[in-house]
Amino acid sequence: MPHQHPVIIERHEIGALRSLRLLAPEIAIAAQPGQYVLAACKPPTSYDPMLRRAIFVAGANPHAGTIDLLVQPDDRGNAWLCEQLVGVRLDLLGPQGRPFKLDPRTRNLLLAGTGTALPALLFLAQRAAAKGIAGVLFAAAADSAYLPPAFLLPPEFEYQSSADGPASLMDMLAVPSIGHSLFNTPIAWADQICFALSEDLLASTAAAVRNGRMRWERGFAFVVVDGRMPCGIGICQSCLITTHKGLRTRCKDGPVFDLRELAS
Amino acid sequence: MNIDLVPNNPYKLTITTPIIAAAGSLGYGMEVARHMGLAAQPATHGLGALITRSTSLRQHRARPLPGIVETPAGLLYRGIDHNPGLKVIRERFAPIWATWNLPVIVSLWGQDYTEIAEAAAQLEGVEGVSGIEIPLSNNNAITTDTASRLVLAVRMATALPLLVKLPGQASDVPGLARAVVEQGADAIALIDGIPAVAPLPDGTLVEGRLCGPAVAPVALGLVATVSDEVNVPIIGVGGVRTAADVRAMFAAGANVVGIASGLLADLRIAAHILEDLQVHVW
Repeated sequence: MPHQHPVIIERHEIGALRSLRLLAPEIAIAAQPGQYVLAACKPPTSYDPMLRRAIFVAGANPHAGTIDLLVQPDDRGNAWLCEQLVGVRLDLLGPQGRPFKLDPRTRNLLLAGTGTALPALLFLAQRAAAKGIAGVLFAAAADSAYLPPAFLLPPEFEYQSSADGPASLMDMLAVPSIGHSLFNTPIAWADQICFALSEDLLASTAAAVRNGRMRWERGFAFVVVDGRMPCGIGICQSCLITTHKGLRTRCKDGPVFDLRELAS
Repeated sequence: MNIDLVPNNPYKLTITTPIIAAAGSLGYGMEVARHMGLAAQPATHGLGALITRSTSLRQHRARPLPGIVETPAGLLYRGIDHNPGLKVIRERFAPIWATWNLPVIVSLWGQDYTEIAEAAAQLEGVEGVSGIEIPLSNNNAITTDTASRLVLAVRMATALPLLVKLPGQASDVPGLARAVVEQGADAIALIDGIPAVAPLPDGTLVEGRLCGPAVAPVALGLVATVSDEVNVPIIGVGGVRTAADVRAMFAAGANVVGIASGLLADLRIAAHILEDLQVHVW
């Protein structure tokens, strides 16, 4: 969990999102899909008490020593980050958090997400494709400007998106194609599923998985849970989430959980 | 540089820098121990001591659950009474604290004086626990009478170094300071977060304790007032972020400075402040 001061080497505006590529060799080597960095989103000399923002890593290239962030300007901290230009040095702490675990037997990987943790699935798709895994990514947002572009995905992954709101993700997941059986859904097709969700979508997602599978074992469905993580390192206890093992912090004990641990 | 934080107590509570982590600012320290080098020699984190999250005799689940709301000049803390209970402290955390390079002081919270006194007694002789702090706000003891009874009960229960944290919103803070020192407080910390209300992103108003730069002038004023009233060490807490803030606290009469919300934003803040202060001067 070291402090780093990487420089922005590329910056692109993609709809309402900002894609930042940072020269951060140590983070690039250490980062795993599902992890985040804690970014100081204010000038170094500012006395603003604003806390660091948890930004999910959207990609990492250990050989080039770069990481990618896909930032949505949804609050004043992230808005500041989105305004930073090439050449600016950021103050990052990380990578932090428990990452996704890909089952070595997985061949068909289903990714589905919405919100600020969605970039973690882009990173996961890259790592999965490098292992010869093919898959599909479903993404949903309230506005198409907040959807990641298809070119950020490896060619091994299909991409479908919806701008009808986060809840539309459930429709994309659970509905079989016309003329096919109820078990011909994306959930039934997948060997493993990795979600990026807010807490309010967990119950409906778990229900969709339950409906789509005859059996649902541990390790089949993981979820990275987004939402504010004020300290990001487990000291403030302000990102508690109810699991089958009791209350856990999203930052230290997550942000990736087995969906079975969260499902009611 | 060594500072004896409790010169009137038979136990020693020596700190090596005049900056401490105020109650709960680093939780119980476990999550940051490796990163901050709390067990490494020499220490580079800049902290003289760590005060834990407020802890009760038994595990307590806060309602509402803990949360932090950013305000324009501070942080509003909610659910500050959420904690794992004293058994976890004694059996899991304290043995690890005993290996660290700074003393750990346990902040105590309870439903009534008896419970707090019992918790204090249970910490007596526990290796790794260097003292206790009683925050008056959390313990509903913000009048002279209630504060006196609480501190006396704790003092009777343990000889451990006893810090008492004063609330900024009390009507007679100097009177509170005199009363708790009379009942055996070894040092005084002030101020605690001030009760306040802030909106969540959805517009819902929530109650909590305001900390950070917003309360700094209030803290400074009360430190100046209280330091004239008592002859025990004063820990100034409230919005400290820079060496200039620390100097102002010292000028107001604080012997030691506590950092709370500043550590949440930057774990290196104490080390940076010490560099700026050129600590050898102290």
